[in-house]
Amino acid sequence: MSRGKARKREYLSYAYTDLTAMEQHLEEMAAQGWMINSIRNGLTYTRCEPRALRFNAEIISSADPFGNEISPETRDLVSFCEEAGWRLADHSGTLYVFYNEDPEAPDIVTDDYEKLDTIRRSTAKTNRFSWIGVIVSTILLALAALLYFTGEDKSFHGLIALVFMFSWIMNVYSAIINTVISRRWLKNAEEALTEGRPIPFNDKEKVKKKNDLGKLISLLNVIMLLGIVLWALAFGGDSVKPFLVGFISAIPTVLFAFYLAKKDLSRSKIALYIILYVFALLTVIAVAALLIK
Amino acid sequence: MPKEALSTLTEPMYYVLLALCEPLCGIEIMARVKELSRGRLSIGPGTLYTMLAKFEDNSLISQTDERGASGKRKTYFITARGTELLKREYERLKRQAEDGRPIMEVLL
Repeated sequence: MSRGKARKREYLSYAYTDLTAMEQHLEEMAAQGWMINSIRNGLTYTRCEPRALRFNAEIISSADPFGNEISPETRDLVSFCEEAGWRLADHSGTLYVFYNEDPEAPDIVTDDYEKLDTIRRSTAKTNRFSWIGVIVSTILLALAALLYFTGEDKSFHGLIALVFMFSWIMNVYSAIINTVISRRWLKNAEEALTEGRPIPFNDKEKVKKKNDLGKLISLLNVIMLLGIVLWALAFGGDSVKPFLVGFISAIPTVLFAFYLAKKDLSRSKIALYIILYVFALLTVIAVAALLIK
Repeated sequence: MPKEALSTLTEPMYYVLLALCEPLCGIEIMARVKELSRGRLSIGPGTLYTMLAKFEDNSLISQTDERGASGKRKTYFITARGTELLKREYERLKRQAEDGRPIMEVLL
């Protein structure tokens, strides 16, 4: 978190499952004198007088999930909300954050079934694009592999293929995980509404764990990718081995990250486990390389 | 493709149509619904926006006074088709209450 006199940034990300937790967090920050300024690339705040504000984080299905232009239909809805006292703080993709000074004002969406339906349509759109991403990265990987097997400079083409392989792995994992999680969450949410319970959005603790897990996975994968690339550069020549190693070692890395996230460990213990894991992984890779060679 | 007409109304829909028996803009509709339901029902602007779009698609309401340089707000009012649906819904609710009256008077 960077601190300045008038601005602050938090590297937190919120999804459609975390709307309530996001609202609570922004309300707490406003009460401490930090007004949300931007929700893109983390949360950016500007200093203000402590204020008692209400926040509503909503998924707007008519918004573009990958751009930040406000469509005419969305602009109409935003104007409608503004007339009711809900002012737009910022938006990112389909996530729009509003605030209101009136503690008695009704929420922007007061129909839980409508809210769930909006989230369902929005996640279906996002998941479709994820799978299109998988198809595109598969094509790029195939082209890179073709270049490797037909080209002369195996070191260079092997490295390119390695990078595309890594990107393909990340796209596939991301698409699978997002699809599975969204389907499971939507099913639970529907059951909750049928039983007369509210939509089960994640609480602050769960969101924190999710963010920590996300950072952990990113860190582990950066370390792994760096290790593989350095090893490939060191050995030069035939780069098929780092190609395969990258593919195979991504699996235990992500599983290890999920395992760590489930344990209630202190930061120092997590750091120790990561160091031990990286050491063990690189040792296994080095031994495997020697044996294969 | 013509949209299928709404055949049943939820409680918020009923009250919004009731409110639109006089021309109102968005914020006025929310206030009127709260008044008609004696404070029982609150509709959020997002929910109302979606509902009005659905009503317009089904020709149950119409608009006047588009927002322009003069600052006039969009005003909505019920159409003849909307009035017919509202009347049917009102009769249905009355019949339901009447049918249940002999039993409910004993229970209450």
